[in-house]
Amino acid sequence: MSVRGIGFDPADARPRFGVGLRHPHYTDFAEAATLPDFVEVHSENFFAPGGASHALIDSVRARCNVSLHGVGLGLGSAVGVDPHHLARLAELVARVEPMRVSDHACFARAPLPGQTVPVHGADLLPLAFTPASLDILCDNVSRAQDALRRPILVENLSAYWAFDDDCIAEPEFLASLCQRTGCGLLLDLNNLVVNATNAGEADVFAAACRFVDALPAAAIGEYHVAGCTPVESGPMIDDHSRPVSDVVWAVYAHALQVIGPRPTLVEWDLDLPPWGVLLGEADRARAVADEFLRLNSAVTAPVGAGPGQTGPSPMGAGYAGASSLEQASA
Amino acid sequence: MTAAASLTASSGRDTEAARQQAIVAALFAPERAAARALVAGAGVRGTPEAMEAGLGAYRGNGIAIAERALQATYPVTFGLLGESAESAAAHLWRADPPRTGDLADWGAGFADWLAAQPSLADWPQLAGCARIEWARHCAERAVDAGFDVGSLALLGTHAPDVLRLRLRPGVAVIRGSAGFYQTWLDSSGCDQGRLARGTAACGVDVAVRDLSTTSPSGTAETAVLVWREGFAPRTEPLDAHRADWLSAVAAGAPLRVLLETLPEADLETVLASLISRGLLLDIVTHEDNA
Repeated sequence: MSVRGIGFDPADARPRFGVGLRHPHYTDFAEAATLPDFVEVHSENFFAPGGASHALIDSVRARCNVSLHGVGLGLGSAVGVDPHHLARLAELVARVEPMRVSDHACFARAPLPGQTVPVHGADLLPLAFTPASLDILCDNVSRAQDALRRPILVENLSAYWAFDDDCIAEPEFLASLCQRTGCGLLLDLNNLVVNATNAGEADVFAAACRFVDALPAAAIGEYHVAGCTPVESGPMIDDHSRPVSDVVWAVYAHALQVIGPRPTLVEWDLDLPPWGVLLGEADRARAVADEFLRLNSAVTAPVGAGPGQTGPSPMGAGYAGASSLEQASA
Repeated sequence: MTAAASLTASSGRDTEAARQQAIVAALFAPERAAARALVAGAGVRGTPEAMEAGLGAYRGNGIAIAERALQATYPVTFGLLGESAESAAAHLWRADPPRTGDLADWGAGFADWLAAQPSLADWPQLAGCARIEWARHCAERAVDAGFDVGSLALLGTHAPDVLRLRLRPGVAVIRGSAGFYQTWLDSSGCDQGRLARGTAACGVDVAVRDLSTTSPSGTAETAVLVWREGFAPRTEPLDAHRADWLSAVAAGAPLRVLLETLPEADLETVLASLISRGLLLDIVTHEDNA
């Protein structure tokens, strides 16, 4: 079984580790003798019709594998995705030929009352976990994949609201999304920790691990790890402003056990550290994965196996994701 | 799908659409109380305190994004506003929300918004600074395009009545209140001495005067030219004649009309200047320009 279409090839046993490449580090990246396995850039930062950003992304791509991570599609928007945004992303994908393309399980676009043209919330706004919300998300993800002519990864959200009528558990919601559309998941482990913290879970680690355990392993195409500002009151904000927290590293180790190694990206967006510190975080992720591989080299379950399984995908025979991914990558 | 199931699905989608509309409206509502009422209708789960905390997180993030976006696009104007900048960003965010998922598209209305503020009525140069900066922002991002040398042949085969000059994407003539350029220049971190020595930091050209002049009477300029040279946006003052002429070019005036008001002695000199400085895209016939 290949899930190459979502950017992860299980035949390539060597896990890859990357960092988010942000503007203050462009010079460091250009001058660096040692590079991470891949870098992730925010797609929208390279949407300009022309100018320096084109030359920049070309130079980055010439030196390193690139993952395009979007924050603006609003894949769960009931009004649909913006065709202009999608067209710009398709142009960028054609230019960069990225390892992976991803965005979030969120909505962003809606018209203000009394208006018909949507505005954009410029945020990753939470979806209700309802059948209708899932239908909308599936339609939009399918539309995006058709336009991009490749499967995408959809990232789980850190959300500051849930809804009274939520009736599908989030892991099940995401699994259904993958099953119906053939997309993969970008599993953000810090988001699990943030959500568990804000939900008042007594054992944040355990809550995050339960979420990991409930996901379809075969659909996971990448991990995100990050840290955020601790809070004394109010919600924890997923601001990617700190080193990866200890609890996230612990959840990462658990995910390696349950899901297996995947490309892993260290996110750091605010209060950026020196480039070398960022690379050090990626090296730490590599060390954690290497340790996992060393200890489990004889007993590693094949990709596609879920928790405690060595056989078919836990998504069952009805899971169309892997086959559609293979088609897409053919 | 049965008719009943279809109706249920449609109703569910309508419910989600209404929920999302309420949440987005809450993000951009001018008053917190109005935002709170909107979110209450969205079915947010939990205690009022939890709802309030989430509302604060989302609204606060929006304002923070607005500040960062405006500061990136309007560094000089943002600096001139000083302590008022954050408030200005919040007002613009709510009055003119983003329409796309690329924040670089947002903020075009900042100059007009500043110009409409009664409290800034005695400082009209500020809106002019914002217009310069938006033009520079657009020039930086404009489509890459060089001059079409082949189009010069049209000058020998077509009458001036049917020919147009087209400026490169990102070229703009910006007008403002007297002194707006100097205000922007003084605050842009580029001192005249450095510029005179040719370092041209920030792409401000005050030493280059072939198309630009300060007015003979010494009054402050009311128009500037913005374009891109390589990847760097450039800005220089224009006298009224050159500003009008370039504006006519940008508006698609026939070459015959442009010839009547040339800013230089002859068309060859003008074209050479426009081409050498990267201002001209091509020459087209009326039909091509339609």
